[in-house]
Amino acid sequence: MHTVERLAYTNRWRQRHPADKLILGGGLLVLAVVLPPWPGDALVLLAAAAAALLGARLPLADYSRLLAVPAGFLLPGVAVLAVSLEFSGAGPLLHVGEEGLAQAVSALLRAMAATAALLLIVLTTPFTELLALSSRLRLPAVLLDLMLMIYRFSTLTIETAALGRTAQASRLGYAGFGRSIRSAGLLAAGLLPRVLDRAARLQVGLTARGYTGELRVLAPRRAHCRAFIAGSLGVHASIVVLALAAPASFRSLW
Amino acid sequence: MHIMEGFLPAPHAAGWALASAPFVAHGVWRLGKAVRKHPETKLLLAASGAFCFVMSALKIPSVTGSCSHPTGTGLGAVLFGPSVMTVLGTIVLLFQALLLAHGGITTLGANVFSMAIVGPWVAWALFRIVRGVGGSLAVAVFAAAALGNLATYVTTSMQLALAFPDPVGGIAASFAKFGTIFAVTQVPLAVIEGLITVVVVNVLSANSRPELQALALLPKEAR
Repeated sequence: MHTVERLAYTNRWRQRHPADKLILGGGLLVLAVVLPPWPGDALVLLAAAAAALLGARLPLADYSRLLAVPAGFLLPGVAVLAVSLEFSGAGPLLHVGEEGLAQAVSALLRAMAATAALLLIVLTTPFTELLALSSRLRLPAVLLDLMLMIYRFSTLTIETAALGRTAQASRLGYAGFGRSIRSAGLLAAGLLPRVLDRAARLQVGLTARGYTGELRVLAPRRAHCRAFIAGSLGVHASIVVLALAAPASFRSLW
Repeated sequence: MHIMEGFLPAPHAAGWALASAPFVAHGVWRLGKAVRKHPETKLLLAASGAFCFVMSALKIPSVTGSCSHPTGTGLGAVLFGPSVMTVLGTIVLLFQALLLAHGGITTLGANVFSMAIVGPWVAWALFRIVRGVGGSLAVAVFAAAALGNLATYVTTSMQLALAFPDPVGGIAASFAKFGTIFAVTQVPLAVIEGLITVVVVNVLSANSRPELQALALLPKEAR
């Protein structure tokens, strides 16, 4: 959470209008899911990584680490896809087939491309600006208010949880399996009254200030950039053209 | 277990989003009604949502030595009720995608279905059943948390099997493959989550009666 937020507030596209960045990243995300994985998703992955590293100037070390985590989660799933299971007379039979391998590679490519597109959005745009943007979607007000408040409570609660965990660990609370279970349970149980108490105090404070059920916060004023939007749409269009114009033999590789 | 961003083909991603939408809409409608009736529940709900989010980010010990994360659906369903948990779980999943780059937007519908709909409802139903036949609180909580957790993995296996049928053995073989992987890795985690949740509920019911009574303000399912 720290890395994502730190990058979202310090990258070079910080001052861009969140909608502009959403057009670029969201468009890439849609293309990643809709286009044939090869070569479409390879192009999406390339474009998203280039935009993040060269455009928004995200540090290579942070970026590659953030992209590697989902890749690690993906590998077991992809491995399962690559191996085929067959129930024959002699019992279940495992083997690696060409079709399963193709399925695995295309799922891997699509997931990596989509993850890179999502990262491009969340690493360049602070969460609160995304939330302010989503208020235009005409979602129920109670949902938006809840999201804003949960976000604010979460950052505080995570700190409390981390402190509690350090305190427990320094008293050998996580030495041994049984004790770890007990400590994790105590930590969660200690967290609930604290976060509810914080909510109650906030309720009193807000009521005293005339809270009528609506939280108004100032959103920073940002200008749209036509060149950026045009460039984004240009990138989308060229990916579509390149992906669909690739020779059929090249495409059917997978 | 989150399905990663982009892992599902477009028709499956859209289908699961459509399947989840009515449950989430129903939950939001109930919350809206509760908040209009008792405005103070809004902050209570926000605090509960933050609690769920942080719970799901807590590292829990696992047998293999590595760390894993609880789903928190069992505890949430018991504390807040399943329809509230559907909304809070959806928000938590969205936050995980946007703040931790874990899960995703295109797979949000599928993840909501397994973790914010199937998990909480199974957990809540088991809790009611075990309590109904006279089981102790600890047994009921353990069943809710462990089997609620397991239900999410079975659902995820099914979603993956439907999206990626085995070229030779079809959907059944694919389900067997994913199910085996999850059975090996997730059954111990489900038991661990069950144990932790029992500790949590025991400590809460010993020390935090007023808080639990405050949570009773949240909309409850018909008993």
